[in-house]
Amino acid sequence: METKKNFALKGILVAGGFLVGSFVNGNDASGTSSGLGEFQDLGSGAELRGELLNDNSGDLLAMLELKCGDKAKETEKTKDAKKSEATKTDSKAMEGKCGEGKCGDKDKAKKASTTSSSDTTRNESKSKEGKCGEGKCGEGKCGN
Amino acid sequence: MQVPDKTYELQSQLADYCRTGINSLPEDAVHPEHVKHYRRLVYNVIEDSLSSAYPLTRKLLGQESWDQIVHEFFRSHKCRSAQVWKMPGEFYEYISEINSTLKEEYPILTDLLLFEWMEIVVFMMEDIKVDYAEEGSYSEDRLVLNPEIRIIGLNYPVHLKNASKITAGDKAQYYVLVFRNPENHKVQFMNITALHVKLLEYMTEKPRGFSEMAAYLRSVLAPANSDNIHAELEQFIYKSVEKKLILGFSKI
Repeated sequence: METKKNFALKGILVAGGFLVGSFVNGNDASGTSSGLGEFQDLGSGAELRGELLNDNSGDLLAMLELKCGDKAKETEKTKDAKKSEATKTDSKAMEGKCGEGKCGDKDKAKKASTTSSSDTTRNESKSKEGKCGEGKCGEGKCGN
Repeated sequence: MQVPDKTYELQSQLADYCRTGINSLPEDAVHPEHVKHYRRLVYNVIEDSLSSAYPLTRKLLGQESWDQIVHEFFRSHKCRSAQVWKMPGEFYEYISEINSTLKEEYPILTDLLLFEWMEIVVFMMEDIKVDYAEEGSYSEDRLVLNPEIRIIGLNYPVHLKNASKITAGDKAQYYVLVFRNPENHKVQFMNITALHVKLLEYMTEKPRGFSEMAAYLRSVLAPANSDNIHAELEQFIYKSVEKKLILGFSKI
């Protein structure tokens, strides 16, 4: 129930199990020194998902512990970026987009029509979802 | 348009049948051989949406457990939103609230769902317009934070490790910054610390200057930890500008 309550917060913080206290004591997962230098750019959703779905991917947590800071990730990220982009995982959020949430939103429509390959995937996803499952007939996915 | 009571009743009965498989529809209202296909088709939409929204969770649970939990959700939960993209959020809430043996078996389950759901939330969030200038001074002008951000607090490093490799020993406090790049609209992730959370909350209130931010950070840190704050803040700001977490400089 805690999660649901936090989920409704209008601010930027959507806490899972806890909230940040009023004083930072440096006891968080990656905390040494001030902690401010220890951020890690994880890339886009598609890149990160591709990496996390890969059973043989490097352990980012271990890398973080070994080499604090953003630089540790940089090399790995560039190396994996192309590989990740090649996966179909890019379509996740696009699928969610579905055209429904922002019906009539001109800005979004413009975005969809002016961008490149990843948006092609988005458009494909939209049409798939728009068919409301018709394409799945006979696939044996019955809810029984 | 007002739906007649009878129509509403029939629609509700059909919806209940699709979810539960228990057919209480009048015999003359539907063809028994045909109506079962509605159930299959609706379930396919639900399963397909959830699979797209939660690929990591699906992989972690395996097909059998995944099908089981999706069926349970489909059967037990009456979705509140008419927008299909919001349904995975209801799935997350549903799992968070129920007592399930799956949650005992996979303590990371709710963290993983939240992490995956938040990407959709940020991708779909309304555009928030802010005024800012592209040119300015990092040391003198106030910096404008990208307003399209969320921060999640997690107990397990589902954003750093393959979910199947996470153990009880990994339990700690983790923070993930999720934001949308205003140029390419891609959702970006950053692993951050509690101090970043404080700083970002501070910057959300209004645009802040470098000195102001440094002073604030010192006020929330133990003195021994604040020696390198200037250099670390500088590094974070440069990266934030590069990644469009900081958009530019305040005009006022």
